[in-house]
Amino acid sequence: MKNKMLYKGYLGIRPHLLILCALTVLMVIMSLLAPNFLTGGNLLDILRVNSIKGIMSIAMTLVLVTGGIDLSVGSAFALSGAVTASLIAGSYSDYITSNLFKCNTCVAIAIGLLAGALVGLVNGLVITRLKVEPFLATLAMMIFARGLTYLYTGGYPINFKPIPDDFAWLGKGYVGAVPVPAVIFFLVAAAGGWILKYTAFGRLLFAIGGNRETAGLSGIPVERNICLTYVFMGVMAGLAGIIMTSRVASASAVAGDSYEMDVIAGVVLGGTLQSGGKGSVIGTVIGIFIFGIIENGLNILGMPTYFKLIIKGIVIIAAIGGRYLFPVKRRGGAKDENRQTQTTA
Amino acid sequence: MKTDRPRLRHKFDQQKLLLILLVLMFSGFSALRPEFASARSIDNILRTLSMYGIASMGMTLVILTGGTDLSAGSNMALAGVVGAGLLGRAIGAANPVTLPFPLTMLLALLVCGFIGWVNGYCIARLKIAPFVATLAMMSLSRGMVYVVADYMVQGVSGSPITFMNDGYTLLGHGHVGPVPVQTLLFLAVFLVLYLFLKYTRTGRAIYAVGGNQETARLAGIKPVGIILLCYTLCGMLAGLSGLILVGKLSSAATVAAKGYELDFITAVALGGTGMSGGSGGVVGTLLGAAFLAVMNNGLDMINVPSFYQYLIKGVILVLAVYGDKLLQKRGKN
Repeated sequence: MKNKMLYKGYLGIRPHLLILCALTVLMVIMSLLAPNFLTGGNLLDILRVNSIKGIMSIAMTLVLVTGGIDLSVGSAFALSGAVTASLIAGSYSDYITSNLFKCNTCVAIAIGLLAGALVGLVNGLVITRLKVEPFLATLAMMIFARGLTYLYTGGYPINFKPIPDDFAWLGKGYVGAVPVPAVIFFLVAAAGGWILKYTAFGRLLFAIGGNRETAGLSGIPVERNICLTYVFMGVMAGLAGIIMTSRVASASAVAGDSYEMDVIAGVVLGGTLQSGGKGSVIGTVIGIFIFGIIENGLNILGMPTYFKLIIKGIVIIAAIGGRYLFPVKRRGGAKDENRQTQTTA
Repeated sequence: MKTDRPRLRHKFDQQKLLLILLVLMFSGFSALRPEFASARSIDNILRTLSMYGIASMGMTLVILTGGTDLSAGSNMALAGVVGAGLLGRAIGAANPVTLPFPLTMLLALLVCGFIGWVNGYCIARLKIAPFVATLAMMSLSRGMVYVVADYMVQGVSGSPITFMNDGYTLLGHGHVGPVPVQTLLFLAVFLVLYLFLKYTRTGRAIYAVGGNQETARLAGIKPVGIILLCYTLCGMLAGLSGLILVGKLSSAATVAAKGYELDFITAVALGGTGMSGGSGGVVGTLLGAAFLAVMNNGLDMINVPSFYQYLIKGVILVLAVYGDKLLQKRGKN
C-alpha cells in the first residue's frame, strides 16, 4: 500500500508542481502567522476534518473526468447517514423510522451505502437513458433525495444512546496515530488513483470525457461506464455521510447541505476540467487540502469565518485563471490562441 | 439556417405544453381549494413570480450563451445589503453615509453589474469554465455580503440590516391599480429582453455565440463583448430581484437568497432553454417561472407537507427536461 502511494507520487506529481508549490507556500505562511499551526494535533485535525469531503471529492473527480457533474452528493450524504444511523442499535429519535428495526453495525453501514448507490444509479440512468443533462438531472436528485431524507427522518435528528463502540470507531477511532477517516480517505484516494490511471475502466472514462461520440463509435460502452461512475459517486457520498454521522454521533436531514459546491471546488482546483477528459486524483487531494488549510488557518488566527468565503473565491479564480494565462506545460499554442481571440475581439 | 425550422416548431411545442400544464395545474388547485383563485392569492403568486422571474430573465441570457451563473443568489444578497446599508436608516446603523432611496438602488445595481462583469471577464478572457468562475464568485460575493453588512451595522457579525423606507416598501409591497409594482418591473424587463433578443443585432448575436462561439467569431461577432454583456445584465437583474426581496421583508439578511440560483436555473430549464446554449428564450422562462410559482403556492395551499414538495419538484424537473428532449427528437424527425 505504501509502495503504491510512493509509485503514484513519482508518476503523478509533475503536472501538479504549481498547485503543490501553492500548498507549500500556504503552509509556510500559516506556520509563520500561527505558531501552533504546525503541531501534530492540528495537522491531524486538518487531516480528519477534510477526509470526509476528500472521500467525496475522489469520486467527484471521476464524474468530472467523464464530463459530468453531481450536485446531489450533499443529499446522498444526508440520506445514507440517516439510514445507517436509524438502523444501528442505540439510535433513537422522535420519529418512528429510527425505532422500528435495528441490526448489526456492518449490515447497517451496508444498507446506508446501498441507499447512496441507489441515488447514484438513478442519477446515472436518468442521465444516460433519458438523456437529461447531468447538471439538471443531479439538481433534481439533490432536491429529491433531500426530500426523501426529510421523509425518512421526519425532520427530527437521530441521536445515539449510547453509540456502539464499533460504529464510533469509524469516525473517532485511530489506526496507530492516524484517524480512521483519514485512513479511509487515503484508501479511497489510492483506489481512485489506481482506477483512473491503471485500469481499463479509468482510461475509458478519459476517452468518454474527451469525446463521447468518438468513444461510443470506438465500441466503448459509454452509458454503462457513466452509470457506474455515478454509482461510485453515490456510494462514496454515502460513505462520507456515514463517517460524519459516526463522528458527530448524530444524523440530521440538513446534513451535507451545499457540500457539493465545496467538493466540486476542491476537485476543480486540483486541475480536473469540468468539460471532461482531464483530471487526476492527486490534484484533487492537494486541492481539498488547500481549502482545508485555509479554513483551519483562519480559524486558528481567529478571523471571521466569512474571510474563508472571500479567499476561497479568489483562490479558485487565481488558480484556474492563472493556469490558463501561465500554462506549466506547453500545450500546442494555447497562448497563441489566446492572443488571437484577444486581438480580434 | 435549415435547422431553424424544426427548432422553432419544437420551441412552440414545448411552450404550448408548459402553458397547458400551467392552466391545468391552476384549475386543479382552484378546484381543490377555491381560495387559490382569489385576488389575494393571485396577487401573492404574481409577487413571488416577479421576484424569481426577474433574476431568471438574467439567467436566461447567460444560459443562452452556453454558460451558467451560480453567483446569482449571492448577488441578490449583496444588492440587498448594499442598498439597505447605504440608506443609513437601519437599526444600529454604523456607516457615515445616508443616501436617498433611488441612489442606493442605483449603487446596488451597479455593484451587482460589476460582479457580473467580473464573472464575464473571468469566463471570456481568462477562459475559466462558467460553472467554476461563478462558483468562485458565489463564494466571494457571499463573503462580501458579510463584510458590507458588518461595516454598515453595529452588533453581532452577520446580523441583518433592518430598516423602514417608503421606497423599498413600494418596491416590495406597492401596487399600481391592482398590479404589484414588482410585477410591472418584471413585465418591463421581460418585454425589453424579448424585443432585444428577437429584433436587435446584439440579441441575435447572443444566440450565435451560444450556438458556436468560434463560428460566431468568424462571422464577425465579438463573443467576448457579448459574454460580458450577458453576465453584467444577469448580475444587475439578480440585484434587482435582491432589492425586491429586501423591500418585501424590510430587512437585508446576510444569508438571504442562498441557493436561489438553482431555482432560477430550474425555471430557465423548465422553459425549454437548452443548457448548452443557443436555443430557447425569455418566453419559456416566463412560463417556467410561472409554473414554479403556481406549483409552490398551490402545494402550500392544499397543505401538502413540505417533505413531499421536495419529491414532487425533483420529479417534475426531470420530467420537464425529458419531455423537452422527446419533443426535440420528434421535431427533428
